[in-house]
Amino acid sequence: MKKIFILLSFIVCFSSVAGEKLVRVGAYHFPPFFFANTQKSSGLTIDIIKHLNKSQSNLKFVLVETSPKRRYEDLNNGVYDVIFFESPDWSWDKKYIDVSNVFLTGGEVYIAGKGKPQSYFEKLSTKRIRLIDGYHYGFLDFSTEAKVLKKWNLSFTNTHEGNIKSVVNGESDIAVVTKTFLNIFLNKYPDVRKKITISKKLDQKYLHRVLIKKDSHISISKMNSILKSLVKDGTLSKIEKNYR
Amino acid sequence: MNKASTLSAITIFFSVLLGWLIIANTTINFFDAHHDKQFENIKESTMSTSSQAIRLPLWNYDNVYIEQILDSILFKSFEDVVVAISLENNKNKELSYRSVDRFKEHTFSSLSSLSYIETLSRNIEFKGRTLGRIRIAFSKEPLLKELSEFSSKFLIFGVMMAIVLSFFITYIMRSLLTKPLAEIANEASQIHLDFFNVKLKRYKLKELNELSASFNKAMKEISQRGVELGQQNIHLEKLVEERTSELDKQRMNNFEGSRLASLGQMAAGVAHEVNNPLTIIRSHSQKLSNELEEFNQPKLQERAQKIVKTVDRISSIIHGMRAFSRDGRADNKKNFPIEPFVLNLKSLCENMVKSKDIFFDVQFEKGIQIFGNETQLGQILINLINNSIDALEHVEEKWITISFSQAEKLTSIRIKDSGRGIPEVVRKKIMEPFYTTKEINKGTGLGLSISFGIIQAHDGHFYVDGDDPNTLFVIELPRVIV
Repeated sequence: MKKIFILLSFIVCFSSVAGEKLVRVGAYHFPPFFFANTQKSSGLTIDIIKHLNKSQSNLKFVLVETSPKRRYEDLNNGVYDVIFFESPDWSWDKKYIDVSNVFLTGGEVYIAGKGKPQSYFEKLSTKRIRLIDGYHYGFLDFSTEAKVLKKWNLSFTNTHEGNIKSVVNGESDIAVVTKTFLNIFLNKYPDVRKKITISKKLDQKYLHRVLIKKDSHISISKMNSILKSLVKDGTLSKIEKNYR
Repeated sequence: MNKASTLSAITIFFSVLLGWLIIANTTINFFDAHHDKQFENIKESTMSTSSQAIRLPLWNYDNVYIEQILDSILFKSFEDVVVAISLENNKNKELSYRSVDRFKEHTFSSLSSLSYIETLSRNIEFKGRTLGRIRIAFSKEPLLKELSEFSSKFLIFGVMMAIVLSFFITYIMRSLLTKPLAEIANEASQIHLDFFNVKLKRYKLKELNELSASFNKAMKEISQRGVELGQQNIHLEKLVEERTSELDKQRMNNFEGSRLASLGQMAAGVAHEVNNPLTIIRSHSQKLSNELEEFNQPKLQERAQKIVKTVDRISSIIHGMRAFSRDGRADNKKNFPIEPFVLNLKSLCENMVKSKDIFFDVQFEKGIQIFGNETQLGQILINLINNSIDALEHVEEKWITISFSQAEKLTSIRIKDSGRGIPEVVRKKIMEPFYTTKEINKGTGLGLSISFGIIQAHDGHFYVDGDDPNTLFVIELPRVIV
């Protein structure tokens, strides 16, 4: 009897593990969607992964960290299978990916020094603009080519906070910041609000999608189904609310 | 620079150079080992720093930053030992390769084949992933070049130091040793038999100073000894002169003795030749006297007898001459009776003293035997009588007495005249050869000294008795009892 119990337990366990397919989710530092931190990373992507792993057992989602520029080859090399909060317009080779439906929107705004009129943001070509390396910007037509970039007075960093502070400090004229991250930053540093001017105009409107490697374990329909349920049951909204 | 200085300079140069080469070898080996260790440390630290520094830019594919870092590693490496650097992704695709100008034609792989190039590779790990690898080519050339330059400088410095030191030490040695030694040699060369007045100065070197002091002391002593020798020489010369004078005197003495001996021989010869005619004269005179007696011619007989007596007297004189004038030096000493000795003496002297109006008397005990050389003793007495005759020339009362007496062990002969004695000053020198108080050409001054020598040869004493108010010579001879 005891032997039968052990055998059944083993079969149950084996069948459970064998049925749980691994889905590696790529993420790069893109606050608030993913805060890369050596101690403990956070962000919407991690919260969604946690929810997905709780809400179902067929797929096991694990986070794989990448970088803005590395994310393309990592996807191609099979380092990860899917990536959230992406846009196919951001230099992706569409023949290798499947694109989900839009599951979230947002945008990036310009910030400038204190007391600047909105017209200040109309002509960017003369401004010193601080950007994140590896990101794609609307005023550049999402190009990352050197011949395009060199026409502008651009400087690239890897820190969003640093870019905001560079504007406050006058080291740059304009920085392009994710709207939600700016809110988080201003909540954390309310004094900064008085020292900057935020454009009403968006550099780009985010139409967040999930990109899926073509031969990955998860299909585009499955992903759309998951996203649909996340939106429908308010989970996504609930998660997003934590980062406003 | 003299030969010794040149040799010393060369010896010092090679000694210092050899010592320096040993030090250089040890030092260079030490630095070589140090460079090896330094090279290893540079490699390790470069690999570690590079892999750490490059991982974030590589993660972000921040090409500008990657290039900056690679340039920094390549061109700002310690001692310029990094000559090439290659960055690959995790698919071994070379993302960047750069090298220093002199290896521009090389690929990283071809660099690895060079003997003085070492290549190291290290994976770049980040966020649990291998992002790629960095490969760095290290060249030991700069360190070897540095070591070579150091060795060259070290050796050049060693040679220069050896030259400077050899000159310096040679100069010091020359000042302290060689030059003073040359001076000492030069001073020493001035020394000869008549010149010792050489004085060395003080020197800085203790040993030379001691040598100088010893030398000066020796010179001083030699100089003093020279003075002393000079004085001794003068003394010796004086002594030689005195001895030569004595020898001359002795030679004269011998010569006088020989001369007297020759005279004696001649007198003896004359006496012998005269004696035969005298014998004939006496014989015929006696015959004539006898015949005149027969013919009763008393006056003529008396005259003939006078001739006989005169001849006898001449014979007696001749006998005396024969007895005392011969060279008796070769005669042996023997006992002889005093009577014939006195008879001969009187025969020889009576006429001399009579002609000078001098009373002459000889007193003796009968039967006395004298041991000695009869001839020499007779000559001594005749010499003394002659001296007395000369001394009494201006004396009013003139007499000469000779007395022979005999005690238990001595036979004394006392020759006394009426003179007033001999002053003490004269007495002290009277027995010395050539001392005479007589007028020039009257005396040789040898008579008494010869007499003194003869008496000494007889183991006797011959002296002037100063206590006697008259002049008294005493001869004492050991008595021989037969």
